[in-house]
Amino acid sequence: MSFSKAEAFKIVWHGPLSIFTSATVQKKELVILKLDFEKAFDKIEHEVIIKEWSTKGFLKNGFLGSGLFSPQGLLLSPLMVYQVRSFIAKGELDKGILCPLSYLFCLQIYYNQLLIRLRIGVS
Amino acid sequence: VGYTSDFPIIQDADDTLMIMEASSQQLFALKALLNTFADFTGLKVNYAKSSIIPINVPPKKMQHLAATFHCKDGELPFTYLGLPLSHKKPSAQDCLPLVTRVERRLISTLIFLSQGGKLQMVNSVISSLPTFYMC
Repeated sequence: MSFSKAEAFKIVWHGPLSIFTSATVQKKELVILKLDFEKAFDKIEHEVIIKEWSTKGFLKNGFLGSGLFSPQGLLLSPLMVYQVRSFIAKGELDKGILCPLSYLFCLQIYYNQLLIRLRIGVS
Repeated sequence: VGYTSDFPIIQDADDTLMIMEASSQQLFALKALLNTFADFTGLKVNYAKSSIIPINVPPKKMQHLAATFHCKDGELPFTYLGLPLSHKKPSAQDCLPLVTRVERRLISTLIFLSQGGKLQMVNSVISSLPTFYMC
């Protein structure tokens, strides 16, 4: 598996552009929130993430890539699941190494929590 | 709060875009969720640097929404992943940052290069910038 920058851009850009176009045509009232996370890569407390993942069963074998991850999630891809699995298999989590992947995975958890809450109507 | 596939969340590293209906109720609920997420992970949203960009929203309503979310009011086109993002064809004005970037590179590097180096620089770097910008 390899990373294609052009392909990634196509995926990332296709979504917003098509939404902007349809919103303009249909006169929908939308807002785009551009969020800035503070020091995203060095603010995560690793121990907390590992504890939370363990509690929720994220670190069990075969759990990654199951139904909990929505297919609508942009970050969910076979490559992502492969990377997370190999990351865990190497035992790097236990060494307390903080890497961007932890951050991305953490965002994915948040994204799924958000989706679940929105679907069940929790406000 | 209604979620449909028309209003996705787009994340690339720490650049996050959320596209949603212009509703203060939804924004209020989202802010509560983000605060919970910050408590859980330590990842706080910097509202001073975040912005809310309207599409077909009247200015008065937009002011109210920005006040609800406590962030600044933005407008299209805005920069995402280093490129201007808009629903319209970019104007010449929108492409000025690209011109500035090319100029800056030419001035700062070309005086140190030989003729062959300059050619290599233009072929491999300078010509790629507009291609990336207009992809």
